[in-house]
Amino acid sequence: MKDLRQLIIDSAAGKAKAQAKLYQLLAPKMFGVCLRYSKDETEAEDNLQEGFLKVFEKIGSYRHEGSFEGWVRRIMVNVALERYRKNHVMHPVEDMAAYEVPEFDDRIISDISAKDLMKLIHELPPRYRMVFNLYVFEGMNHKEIAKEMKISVGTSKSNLARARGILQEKVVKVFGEIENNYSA
Amino acid sequence: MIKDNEKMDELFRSKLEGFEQDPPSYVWDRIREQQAGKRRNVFFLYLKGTGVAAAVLLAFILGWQWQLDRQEEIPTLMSEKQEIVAPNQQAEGQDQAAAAVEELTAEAQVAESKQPELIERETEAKPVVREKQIEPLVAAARNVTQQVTQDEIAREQESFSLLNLLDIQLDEVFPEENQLAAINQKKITTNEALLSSVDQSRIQENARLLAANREAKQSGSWQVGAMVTPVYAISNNSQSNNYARDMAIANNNSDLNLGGGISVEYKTASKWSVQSGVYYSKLEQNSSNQPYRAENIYADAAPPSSDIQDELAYFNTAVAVRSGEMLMNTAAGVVALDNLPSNAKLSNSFESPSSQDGILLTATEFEQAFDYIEIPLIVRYQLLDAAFDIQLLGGINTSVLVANNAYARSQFGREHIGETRDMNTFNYSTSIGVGVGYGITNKISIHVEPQLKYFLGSLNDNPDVSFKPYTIGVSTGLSYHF
Repeated sequence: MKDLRQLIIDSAAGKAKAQAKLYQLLAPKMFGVCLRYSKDETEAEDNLQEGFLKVFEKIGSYRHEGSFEGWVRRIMVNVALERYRKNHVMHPVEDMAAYEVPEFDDRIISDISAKDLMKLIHELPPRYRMVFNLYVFEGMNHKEIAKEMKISVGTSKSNLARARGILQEKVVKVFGEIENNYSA
Repeated sequence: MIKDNEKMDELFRSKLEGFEQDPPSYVWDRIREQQAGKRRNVFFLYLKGTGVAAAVLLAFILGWQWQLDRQEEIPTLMSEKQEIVAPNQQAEGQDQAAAAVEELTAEAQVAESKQPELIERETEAKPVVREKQIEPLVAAARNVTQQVTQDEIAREQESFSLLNLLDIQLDEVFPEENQLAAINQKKITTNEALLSSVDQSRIQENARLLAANREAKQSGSWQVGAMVTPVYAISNNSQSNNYARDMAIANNNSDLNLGGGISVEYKTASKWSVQSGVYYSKLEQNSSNQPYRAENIYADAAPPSSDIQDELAYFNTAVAVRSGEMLMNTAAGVVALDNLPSNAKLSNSFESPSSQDGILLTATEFEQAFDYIEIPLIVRYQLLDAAFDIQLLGGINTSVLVANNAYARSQFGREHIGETRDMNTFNYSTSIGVGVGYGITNKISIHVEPQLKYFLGSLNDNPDVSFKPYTIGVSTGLSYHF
């Protein structure tokens, strides 16, 4: 803990070694976060790069209160949100339709890997992916998501429902079939 | 349903919450590179600021010096004129006084016995006369020695001899020192009247010629000119991976345009000169479609064969439709299309995972044109001053974006379709070059000046795009010296 504090202080002073260590310490986790918010690895790399540049730029303002990892993670999410706002301010569509999705077996849950799920997230349309991430992983409610993404609460709800529907459908389609084949 | 949702959320949360993956090592290299770039930018910003400040200071000093020279020249001439007049007036006044002295001398001869006393009085009076009258005149004469002619010097000397003589006689006639001083004071105030109008005009003419001569030698000169400049711009751009993936292909690395303008130059007495002016210049970026995106149209089905893809190559300029706008990535920045080109159709893929969710079906090529007004501040150093003069030049330019247009070129001709987003209004560049001039007449000369110009920052503010062309221009024109 003390080491991390010193690392943060040295990084704020612009020491290259400290910054490199801090990057090594946090980059794998943060790359995982960036991957969830991106359509592919290239976009995640861009976000990670931009995020760490911001971390080193703003690290002097970190007050050593609360989790540093949480602080860095919030920067990564903000970078993803900024990129989204810049590229996807569009389509004020209210989509409140109910989606029929097939149910999936509990056995799928144990068999499916994190990488497989990440691939499914990448395939989501950008806004669905963003809403799903903010709701499921950041624990935001629809009001907060609507504010962050400059959309209505209804749109946030419908986007989440649609995201879940697409994901569930794909999970069942891809992994359910594999399961069936094995069991056949 | 709710249970299913919770199950879904939990599935993803449990598997991905603590998900870790090592990023490629080049990400860290890119971070370091960008940090260094930011430091460089700060340095360039500092350099830019220093350059501008130095240029403003230089311009101010030169302007102030020039103004000072002009102001000082005239009062100096006036005082010189007065100083020139003083001995002449003295001489003429003393001519008249000499006549009176001659008369008085005759009377004085009557009292020859008083000679020793006269000598004695002379020795007493002289210091008074020299201190109060002669010394200022000697000083004045010393000041104008370099300006007056030999003739004037002779007259001056004559005046002094007469003055000396006059002093003696006056001293004899007016023994009281304060009386002598009063007379002399009166003489000085009436000197103007004693100077003939011909002499006065001659003195003024001499002073004018002297001033003109001095000004030509010491205060430098001005030069105005008009230039025509063919500019060859070489594209220098880079984009983030994400941006470049959906970018229309940049199909030219260079373009040739015509610019020009008027220049004003101030040449100092030394080999240095400072030039500014107003110039017009133009930059372009041309783009075409992305053939390899043809297969993306068929993302969900089997992609067509390569032959078909080639045929459909033009059916695939990626665009984004956001808030009713159509945006297209190009090497110079994002083009916002106001109008769809005549031969284009828009296809939209709302649930596309790509940020560019639209496809422009067109065989059109795109052209972005940027018009700038430039205000340079160039410092020149004269290397050779002969029949051909050669100068080294370097400086900083401020380019102001005055027109920003995007066009589509197809069989329907050239259509205006919109503009490029995020273009900076003010841009700074440095330039270096060589100037060769040839004097056609004393006042008019012809110039040929090759110059290399490099923009200090990207012309586009979009963080995903760096658009910094450098240009080679050959300015040709005429200038007038005065």
